[in-house]
Order: sequence, then C-alpha cells, then structure tokens
Amino acid sequence: MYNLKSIVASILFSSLTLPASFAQDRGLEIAQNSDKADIGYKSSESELQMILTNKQGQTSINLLKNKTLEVPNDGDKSIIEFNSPKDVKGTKTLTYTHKSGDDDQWIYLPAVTRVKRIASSNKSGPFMGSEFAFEDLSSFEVEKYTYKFISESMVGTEKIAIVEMDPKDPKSGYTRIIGKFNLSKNYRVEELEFYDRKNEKLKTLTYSDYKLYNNKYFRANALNMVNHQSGKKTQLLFTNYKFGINLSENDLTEDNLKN
Amino acid sequence: MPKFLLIVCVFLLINNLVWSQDTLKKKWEVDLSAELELENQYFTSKGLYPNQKDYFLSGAFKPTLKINSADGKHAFKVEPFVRGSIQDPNRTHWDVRQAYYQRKLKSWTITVGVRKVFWGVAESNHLVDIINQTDAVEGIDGKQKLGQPMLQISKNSKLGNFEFFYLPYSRRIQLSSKTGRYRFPVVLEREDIQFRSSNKEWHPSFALRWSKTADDFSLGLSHFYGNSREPLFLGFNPATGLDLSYPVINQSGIDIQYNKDAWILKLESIYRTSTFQDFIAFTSGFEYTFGNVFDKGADVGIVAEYTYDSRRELTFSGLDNDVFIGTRIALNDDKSTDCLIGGIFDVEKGTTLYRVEASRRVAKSYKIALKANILSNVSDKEILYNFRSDDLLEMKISKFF
Repeated sequence: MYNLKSIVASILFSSLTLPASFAQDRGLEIAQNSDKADIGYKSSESELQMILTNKQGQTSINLLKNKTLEVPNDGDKSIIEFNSPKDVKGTKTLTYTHKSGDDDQWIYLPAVTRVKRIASSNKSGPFMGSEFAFEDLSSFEVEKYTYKFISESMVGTEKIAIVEMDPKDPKSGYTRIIGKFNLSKNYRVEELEFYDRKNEKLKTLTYSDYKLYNNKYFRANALNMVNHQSGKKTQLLFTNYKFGINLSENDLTEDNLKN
Repeated sequence: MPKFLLIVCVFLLINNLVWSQDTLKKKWEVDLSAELELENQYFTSKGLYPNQKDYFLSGAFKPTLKINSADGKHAFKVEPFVRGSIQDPNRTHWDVRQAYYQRKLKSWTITVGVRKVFWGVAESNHLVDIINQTDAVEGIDGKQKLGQPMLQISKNSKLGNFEFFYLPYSRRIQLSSKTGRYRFPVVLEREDIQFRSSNKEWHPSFALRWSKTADDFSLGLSHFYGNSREPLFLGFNPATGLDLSYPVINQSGIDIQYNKDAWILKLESIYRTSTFQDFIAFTSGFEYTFGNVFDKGADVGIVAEYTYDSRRELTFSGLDNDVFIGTRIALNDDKSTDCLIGGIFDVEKGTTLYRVEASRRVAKSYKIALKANILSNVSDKEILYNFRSDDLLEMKISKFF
C-alpha cells in the first residue's frame, strides 16, 4: 500500500513539476500557430475609427488609415495616417517592427514638412489619448514573450486555450498578459487581459466581429479595450480591410511620408 | 523662367501620353481641408522705434487640397496661404506654400511645382535646411517657410535616398513694416536686400542630397549651389543701416542622428562659401524622453543643444555661441495637450531668449495655442539688440475644417 501511495505521490508530484516545460512548450506552440496563421498575407490596408470614452461617458473619435507590409523574417512595416482630429490631419507615422529590440519609428509633421525619427522605446505610453498603449498596437511577434500554457477547454463547440504571455522587454508596461486563443478558429485571439507592473489587472481587450478574408486570414473588425483602473474605454472599429494591395518596400520609406 | 516652363511642359506632355493609355479609368481620392486662425499678439514693452504698435490682431486662412490616384502613382497638392493683419501691413501677405504634381515610378519620384522641403535634425537651429526662404513675418523662430518653385527628382535604393533639385527662382525675405515689431531702426522692405548675381532671383540654384538610415544611425549629406536664402550680413553702419544682400553661395551640409532607447543624439553642420564670406557652423546636442511618466501617460522630453557659428557677430540668426535647453511635455491625452519651455543663452554675451509654448484641442475641431517670447540681458553686440524691447505674448485660436 505504502508503495502504491508513494507511486501515486510521485506521479502527482511529477505532474506538478513536469508542466513547467510542458506549459512553456504548449504555450509557445499555440502562439506560434496563431502567428503562423497570418503568414503570407503580404500586405493589407484598412481604415479605422478609434472611439474614446471617458468615465463620464463622453466620447471623441479619431480616424486613421493603416497600411501594413509583411516582411519575411522580421517584423511588419506599417504607415498610419491620421485623418481626425482635424488639427492633426495629414500626420503620419512609419514603423519598422523588429522581432527583438526596439522598433524604428518616424513621424511626419505636415505643417513643417518634417520627418523626424523618434525614440520608440516608450512602449507603455498611450496612443493618441486612448487606452491602447503603443505596444498594444505594434505587430505581434512570437519572440517578444515567454509563454505558459494554463488550460484548454471546450466553450460551446469551440476549443479555447488560455496562455500566459510574459513580455521579455523590461520597458513593457505589463508583467503578464493572459490570452484566450480559439484553437477551432485557426488560433485567433479572442481576448487579452493585461496586468500592470504591480501585477494588478489593468485592461481587458476583447476581439469581436471576426471576418475571414481571402478564405484564410481572420481579422477582428471590432477591438474593445476597457481600462479597469480608470473606467475609460477605447473601441477600435475597422472598415474596408483589403489584402494583397499594391504595396512595396518603396512605399514604406521616410521619403514617402512627405506628401 | 522659359527654360523651367519648357521642362515642365515636356514633363507634363510625356505624362499625358502615359496617362491616356492606362490610367483613364483611374479612381481619384480628393481631400479638401482648411485652417482658419485668429491671432492676438501683445508686446509688453513700448517699441524702440517711432510708429511701432503694441497690439496686433490678424487672421490667417490655410486651405489644403490633395488629389491622389488610388494606385498612389499620381498626386497633386495645392496649399495657399493668406494672412491679414490690421496693424502691420507687411504681415498682410499671401503665398503659395505648395502647389505641385508628383509622379511615382517604382523607386523614382518626380515632383514639379512649388514645394516645402525640410532637411536636418536639430530643434533650436536649422543650419542644413536651405531649400525654402523663411517667412520671417510669421515669427522669429523661422519655422514658417515660403513656397519654393522646383523640379525634384528622388531615387530610393538600398544605397540610400538620392535627391536632386533644380530651383529656378529664389524668394526674398519679408520683414515687418514701420508699425511692426522685430524690425531694425531702418525699415527694410523686401526689395531693399539685393541679390548679388546679375540674374537676381532668376539665377538658378541646384541642390543634391543623399540620406540613409542604418540601424540606429540616420545620415544625410547635402550640397547647395545658388542664391543664398539667408541674407549675408556684413555689418551695421549708422548712416546706411545694415549691410545685407543675397550672394551666390556653395553650401555643404551634414546631418547625423543616433537613436538608442530613449536617447537621440544629433549633429548638423554646414560649410558655406561665397565671394564675400566663408564660414562653418554646427549645432549638436541630445534629446532624452521620459515616457509614460508615473504611469500617467505623459511624455517629458529634455532637449539640450549647442550652436557655434564662425561668423560670430555677423551671424544673421544671432546663434553664434549659444546653448539651448528646453523641455517638452506632452500629456498624450485626448486633447493633445502639449507644452514647451526653453531658453537660448549666449555663452559669452549673456543674451537670453526664453520661450514658452502650449497648445490644446478644444471641442472637436478647435485648437488654442499660447506663446511667450521674452528677451533678456540683450548684448549690444547682438543683431537681436534691435529687438530688445520686443517681448511677445501671443494667443492663437484655430478652427479646422
């Protein structure tokens, strides 16, 4: 009996220790699959509406245009053009995302026709007064996090995996992000929960209104970010998604921001 | 002028032939926007010279029309500017800031028309920047520029970005009238400062620029030949006033920026030669940004720059041995609240120019901007000595359409 007990105990014990590497591997695998599902989209463009809601329920709207080029073996290159508020109309940002290290980022200021390369180490700051930090909006790269698989379960007919993602960059505003991946829908992200540097729950981002483009790429047309600490919300609504547009490296240069 | 027009005509003709084949069914994106601005300027001290006023009210209108082809190959931009000033007739002026047609052919870009082009990396002094004339009546910071007619050809490649400019016509600087501030004892009208070349404003200018970003470094090399934009200042004579003219110059420039984490290191330098004067000048410094301060979202940037100019007391901008220290605070809120506080100090002469600027969006499409320029301890060896009573408080309200 005693032997059996110790065997059971050792199995239990090992099942408590083994998952460390298993959890890492499984978590990484899910993130890789999620990232892989997006490979080959080449380029895309979309228009987005950013609706900022404060605690009192007052809203303001930013309109943006986004063009993204997939870069094999490195992060994406993208241009964001501001359309509203009208006083910043024509302002553009150019970002070269990298798998490791800081991104390269430029801003174009139309009033003085100046392109300025800016410090992109400020990842945790808000984008245009919204609840989205710069790091929330930069392209997802597997290499930027370490992973811990937490659980997997059926929700209705869909298999949902919960994975903890810990940013490697010490400049990140988060200690951890809890992600819900939909394994039945090509590993798309359904929800992210952000924990601040004090490890307190900061924000929840919900992805909804998913559409399948080119029969292959899932894109959420609505992203809803709720800040639990400030009570503020930001909604991102995407329209006119287009894939495989006529976009090359020549279009994503500093010089090309200037018109 | 005829030569320039001929080039433009041939260019447009070739383009029309290209258009007729494949682009007639092209879709165009048309975008019209505008800014209407009301400006109040109050000078806190009485003017040094007769007739100078203390309060100035003016309005400006800045529309922008953009037409782009859906395929991104053709672009038109028209950007006129007009200001009406009640108290200073020379500030009542209009300009074509930009009016150009741009054609993109893979890695080539050809632009014909009037355009604004900015070069350089520094914040307190723009030495390398030379294509456009300054719209001096818009402000002493020299940020606003007059439109420059040009043919510009750019080529982007792995070796960097190459740009060529043909600038057939040069513009003169406009200074305040007798009622205005920031002027010299003798009122200088636009035509009072002469070109040294016999072709005057039609003496052609040319410029080349190469720029490349490699990892954390951005590097630019440039050369300009032609009519100087900045007037050559050869001294002050009580009888005849200031000795100012526009000589034909050669100017070589270099600008370097290094980005690492929250640091930006900068250097820009020029070497300018003419029959009358050769000099070197450089501005160098750093910018450090504290991002998301106290997790409240605000960015606080610190800027420090030093300028040396071997023209010394004959430096038209007055920046010959000066340090700029400033901080820029951006709240990153939904009103884009922004504030700049800084000072330029002359290391030897002690002259100091303090600057405070703040702006914030109001309602959906209005913006309020406040500015203070305060001169203190102005040395009589400075060209700025003429402006020593011109401390400015300014408020601008803009409506955007």
